[in-house]
Amino acid sequence: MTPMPAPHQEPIPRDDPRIARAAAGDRGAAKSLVLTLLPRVRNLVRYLAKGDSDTDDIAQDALVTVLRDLHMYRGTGPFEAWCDRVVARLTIARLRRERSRGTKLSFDDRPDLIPIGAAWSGEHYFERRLLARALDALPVEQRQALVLHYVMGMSVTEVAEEIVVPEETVRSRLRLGKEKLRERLAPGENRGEP
Amino acid sequence: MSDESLLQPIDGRLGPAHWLPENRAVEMADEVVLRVLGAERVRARPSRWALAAGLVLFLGATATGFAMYALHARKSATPPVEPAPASHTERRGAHAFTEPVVPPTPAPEPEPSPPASDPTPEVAPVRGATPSVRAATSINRGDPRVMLQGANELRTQHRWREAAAAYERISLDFPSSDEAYSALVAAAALYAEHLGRPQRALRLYGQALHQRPDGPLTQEVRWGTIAAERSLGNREAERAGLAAFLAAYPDSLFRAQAEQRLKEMANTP
Repeated sequence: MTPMPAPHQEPIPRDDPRIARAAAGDRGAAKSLVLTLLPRVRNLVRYLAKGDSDTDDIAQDALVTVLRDLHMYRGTGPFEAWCDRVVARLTIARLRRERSRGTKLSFDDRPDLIPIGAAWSGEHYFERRLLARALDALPVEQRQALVLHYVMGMSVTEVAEEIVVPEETVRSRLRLGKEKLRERLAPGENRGEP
Repeated sequence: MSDESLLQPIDGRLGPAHWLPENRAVEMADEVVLRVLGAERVRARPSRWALAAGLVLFLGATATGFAMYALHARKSATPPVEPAPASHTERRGAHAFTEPVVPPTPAPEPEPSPPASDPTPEVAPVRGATPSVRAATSINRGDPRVMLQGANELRTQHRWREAAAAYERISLDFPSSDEAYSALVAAAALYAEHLGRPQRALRLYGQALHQRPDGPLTQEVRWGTIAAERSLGNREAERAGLAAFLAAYPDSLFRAQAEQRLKEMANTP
């Protein structure tokens, strides 16, 4: 059985042998890589998508895409950054598609549970959960701009290219999104309700 | 706390995604690998028994598909077809609905192309950087009909997770094929009825309905959607779905079941 990677893992080196092996169809390497990426991918999806209920579903589809397209990773940049781009692109496209179809996404906010005695540090967990709920209250365009820019570290130009809007629009969304987020996270505000 | 201090670079530590038990994480990883690389046994050379079973499944499913198509076209009082031979008869609780058949569907329609996945700066414009990688990644991608037979075989063996992954691979690898539509519906049914994942079932049913709003399995898709909504506790969606279903299929075999359920819902808050 593939051991569960430690949650505080080091970044995956761009020449990690699992990448080539997984691309070549090695199941063990593929599973190990997926398990390593899973927490990060789930986090990114949760930053981008409202509520908890679709997180795992979208994350799983995103990981399928990552695994299928591994051979397209050329190793010229950080592997995780490449994965982030794949995941963000798939997530945004999917949310857009479902909105255009009028699909009603369920908005299920799971309780903030972590296992008692877990080796994982929950130091930032609750703060991040609060942040995600605050993001849930933002218009989707502002949310995506904030996440791509601040969480994924993309430049304004890159964000503009990614979501196909002018740079000025991205700056505007970032400014408005930050204002709303600040209001939402201000002491005394009800942060739990979107 | 300020938004800047919280909006930190992405990492794999806890949050903001909800905590996931380790066994569920392993299951998810297994499913991803299955969907990309397939089930190991399916790739092996099929035995004579497997080939015979596949032939029976295929013929049965074909007959069922045409029957469903005729049923749909006429919207007549003809009883819905029996499940394909690959189907089992187990039913569970709220999902005690029909098991979708897995027919090759007649009258293929154009479908939207899948979304572009990842042309990032890191991405090469052409798939398959090297011949060896190309060969390895194409190892499981063949004829969708053969893949459908393989998935059906897994289902007859009650290997639900592997079967669902195999069905999903068909819709992923051959999104425009006739088999992809049937495979989507079959995967949705497995997620709903055997894998305890109505949310995913709902999504796949939605995808199938979007691909072929008037497809030969639309009745099954709508019925499955209602069941999934019920599992999720979405009473309003379930109620609306039942009403719409009765209006669309007044002669359906599920009519009595749908009416009964509506009555139950009316009597319970």
